[in-house]
Amino acid sequence: MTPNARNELDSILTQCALGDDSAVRDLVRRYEGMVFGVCYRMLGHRQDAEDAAQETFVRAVRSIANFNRSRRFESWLLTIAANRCRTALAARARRPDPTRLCDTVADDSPDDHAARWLDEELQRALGGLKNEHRQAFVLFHEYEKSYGDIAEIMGCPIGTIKTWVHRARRELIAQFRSRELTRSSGAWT
Amino acid sequence: MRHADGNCSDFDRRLQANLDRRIDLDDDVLAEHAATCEPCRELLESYASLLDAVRSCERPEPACGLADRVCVGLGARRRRGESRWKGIALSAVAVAAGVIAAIVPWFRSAPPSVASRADHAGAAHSSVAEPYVPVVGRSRAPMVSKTASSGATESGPDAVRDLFETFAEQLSADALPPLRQVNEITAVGLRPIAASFGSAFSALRNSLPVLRDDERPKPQASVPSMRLIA
Repeated sequence: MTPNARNELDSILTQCALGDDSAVRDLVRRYEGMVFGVCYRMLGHRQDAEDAAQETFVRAVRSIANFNRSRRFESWLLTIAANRCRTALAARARRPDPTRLCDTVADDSPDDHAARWLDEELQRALGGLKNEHRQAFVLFHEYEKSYGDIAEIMGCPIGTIKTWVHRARRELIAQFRSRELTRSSGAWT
Repeated sequence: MRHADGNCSDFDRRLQANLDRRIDLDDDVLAEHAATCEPCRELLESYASLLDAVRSCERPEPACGLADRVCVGLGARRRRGESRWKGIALSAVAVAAGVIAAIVPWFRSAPPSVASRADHAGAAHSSVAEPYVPVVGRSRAPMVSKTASSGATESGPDAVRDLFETFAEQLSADALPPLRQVNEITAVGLRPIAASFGSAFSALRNSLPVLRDDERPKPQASVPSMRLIA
């Protein structure tokens, strides 16, 4: 992050701490994609992911005065998001809802169908992983966080994170093979 | 597994290292081994497919209006917090009212000797009575006069009035801020309410008539210790 970007973020955080709604909106718009994406990959359900993302931002803004500015804000935010997802998953485990097993969007255009299908296959495969493995994999491969950042977000040693990512990759490959998902000449079948 | 032209474990180590460093899997060393080893070639293709699937998928985006919902959520939390503090402040006021309501009947029903000791409004009728000194700070005024304690009794209502006048003087003007201010200052915790109560109770305690030191009952603690020695 450049010094200018850092100063800009500091200013937004200060304004958020003072209760400025426009600063809160700026903050949400900056990070909503990343936070929602991680929540969606973790929960596999749009509505749950939106609830978790909303709760993440609400909690972050409420405790922004306690945020240690020497830390990376993204990591701190993703730590909150990960905690929200864990809470949501624990609640779901207590009250399983069969309707959540099929979270599909009906308004696909034909052009989007292939991408949607691949996304669903990937989401299904991710859903078969342990929560920690899934989160580590998504942060590393989809959001391109470093192992150090992921270790900070998940509160684990770097070695553990590496192990989780390796296991996640192997399990995903095994699932792809078991469902005979292959890519031939650039197209998935 | 070892093949004539390469080592599969070396291949796997190199593959994992490339994945960890996000290096392209089109690596000559990997390709060379994969060309002669079927399982390793399948493994390489599987990893390449997985990475391709992850890259091909669109990153999920939230529905519009997340920022608005966050602001609404924050507003609702703030309102809940305010109403909670308002409840605490109201409870504090209710407790204070309860304490005062309990103290007044007690003082009215106190024995005449206590009431007369507290009475300094009638000091004019006694030439040897000590002058009435209002209580200041934590020092307690010598509210007991020998004349008063020897039987000159003045009735309770005047004593109560004096007592509460002293109490009112002691109570600083900002000790009990209005409720509307409580909402503004509760961000720093319960300190203002606690300070108000502390101030009120301290003033009340200083205002109550007390026995002079020479009239306090002697402590009885020495008796058991004597028994122990014996």
